[in-house]
Amino acid sequence: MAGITVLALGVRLFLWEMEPVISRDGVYYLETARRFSGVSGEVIPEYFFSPPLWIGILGVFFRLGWDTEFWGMGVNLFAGVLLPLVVCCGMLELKQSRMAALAAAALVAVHPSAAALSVVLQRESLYLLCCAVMAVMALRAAHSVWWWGVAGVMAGFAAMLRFETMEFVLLAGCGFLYCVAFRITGWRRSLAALGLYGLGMCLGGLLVFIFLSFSLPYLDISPMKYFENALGKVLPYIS
Amino acid sequence: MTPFLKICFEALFAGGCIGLALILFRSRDRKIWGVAIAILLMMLGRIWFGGSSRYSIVMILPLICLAVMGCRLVPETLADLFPTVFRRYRVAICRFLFLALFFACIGKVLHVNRYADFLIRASQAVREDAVAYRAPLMLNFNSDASRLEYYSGVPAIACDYRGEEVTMWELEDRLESWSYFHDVLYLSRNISGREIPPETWKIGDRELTKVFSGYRNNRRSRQIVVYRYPVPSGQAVDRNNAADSLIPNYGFEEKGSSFLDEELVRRGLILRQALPVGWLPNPGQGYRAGGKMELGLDENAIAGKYSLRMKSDTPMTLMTDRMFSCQENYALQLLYRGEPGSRFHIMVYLYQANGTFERYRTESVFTVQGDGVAPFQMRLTFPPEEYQFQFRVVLTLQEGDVSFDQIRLTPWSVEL
Repeated sequence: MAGITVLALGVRLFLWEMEPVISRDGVYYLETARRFSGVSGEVIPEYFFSPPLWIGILGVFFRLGWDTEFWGMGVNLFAGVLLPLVVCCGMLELKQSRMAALAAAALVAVHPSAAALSVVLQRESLYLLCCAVMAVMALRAAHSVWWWGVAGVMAGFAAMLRFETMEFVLLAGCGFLYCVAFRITGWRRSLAALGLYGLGMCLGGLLVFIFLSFSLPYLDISPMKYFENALGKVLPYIS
Repeated sequence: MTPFLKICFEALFAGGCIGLALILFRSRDRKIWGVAIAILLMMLGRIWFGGSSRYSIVMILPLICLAVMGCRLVPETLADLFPTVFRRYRVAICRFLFLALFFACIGKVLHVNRYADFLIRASQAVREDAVAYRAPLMLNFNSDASRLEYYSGVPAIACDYRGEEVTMWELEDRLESWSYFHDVLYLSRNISGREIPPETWKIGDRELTKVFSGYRNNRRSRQIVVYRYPVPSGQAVDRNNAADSLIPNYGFEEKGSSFLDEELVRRGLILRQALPVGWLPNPGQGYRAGGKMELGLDENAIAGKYSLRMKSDTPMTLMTDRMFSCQENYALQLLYRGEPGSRFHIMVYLYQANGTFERYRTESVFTVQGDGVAPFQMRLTFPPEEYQFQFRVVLTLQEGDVSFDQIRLTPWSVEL
């Protein structure tokens, strides 16, 4: 696994060296973080329409006076290098062989999109890591239902990075009905799992908003406003 | 389906689909069926809705896991179907399939764009060239405005464009519109890789000089070119030219303390920030309840740090706090920028000597034609029967989105 981690790091550093240009969204994220962290610029609500965790992380670097572009990419690089390890754990939880787990980790290490997104100033690398940890925790929940709570917290973090994480709430609801209908688990256990997942997600969201109150002190957005925005994006597809 | 395939990588998508099909084919476990159906639904949802490829990023991980399972299940299935042929080679086939996927990924990773730094090089060229100018601006007929501004430090405007088809008329129109307050304009656009960009380029009677050209991709099918247009002296207006304006805060640079009129808020006016000093909204005209209105200072300034921005689907007014005598005639000049089709009026409110409102008069009705900065000028004249009154200048937005700056009110005798 150490070799695969080094491979993942090598691939990403190679891409960073070869394609060092900031992304279009990256410029937007930097500008938004700069304004809402109170470093400079007018705080205009129009600047803020994306999930806040990534901008909050960049805001911390602004407030510390560090090179935000560099350290933002550093966070992404760290998430990208950690991803093969998490996928390896996931495959082992799926009762796959050790070789299969290492093979999956190796493919994650060299996947072109996963690697490329680890070296640009985007939120996707961190989002992938949160989703992967969430999936591993959900798989571990076969041993103890409490892991659903941890999975929910990770889903909360992921929802603060990309709106479409909300689909997991829908999928969890469908999973609950599926498990009850086909008597895979008892309805009490399914309901407990669903409840823990939902509570965990709320806790994750709450933790992010507490973090944001420090990293983006000029951010004026309430959790309810955020969920209204998220619903506004999701509902047109459902209807 | 293309964005989905692009982000997931075609080889892994194929491997993942085969793995998913074999799991559904071979397994009788309802738990596994549940997970497989969830993955299938997520995949189909993303392929159906399309959108940005990054919506599909989360599918990378399950597809990789499924592809690895597929590498094991393909030879096992073949061995079950044709035991005499494939049983001996199960492990070899499994390894071959995995290595094929692995090296396909490595090949894709190594296929980097060797011209990926074209924006950095273009920005560097612009930055070095712009040192000699006081107020540069970059007009971008491509999607690179924000990044060129980020690297060069030169303010950049994203112009509307349709792919690479920009007509000479449009280019000329933009150059004309943005000439005010800028002593040099840089024009950035994409052209075909086969074209050889000339060193000088004539747009109407303007001559542009090439600052940079470079390929954008490995196939050399597209290149970016940046041209420089030094605005002839006399056309660029000095930023302080309105200093003789009778209107205080003519450039909207002084921001007032927080302004909150409960009546206007109740009617739906969104105050983006504090209003400029010396200017007042008039709740008595416009501001229909339920309208979508925004009023405030905008950092995307026409000149200086701020411009006044009015955006509304219902009429809204802003008037000078100060009153002026009607005994003289005046020239009124301003710079504006707005969405084409936006309509604004220039009005005056007339007051008696004791400050009692007398009547209003619409002096000019105007519709914005282009999306650049343009000057507007008119004369305010008063008949002798109105000499007893004082007046306020009133900007009325009928509908649309318009920014104003450098409002210059000068006595008639000053030449326009």
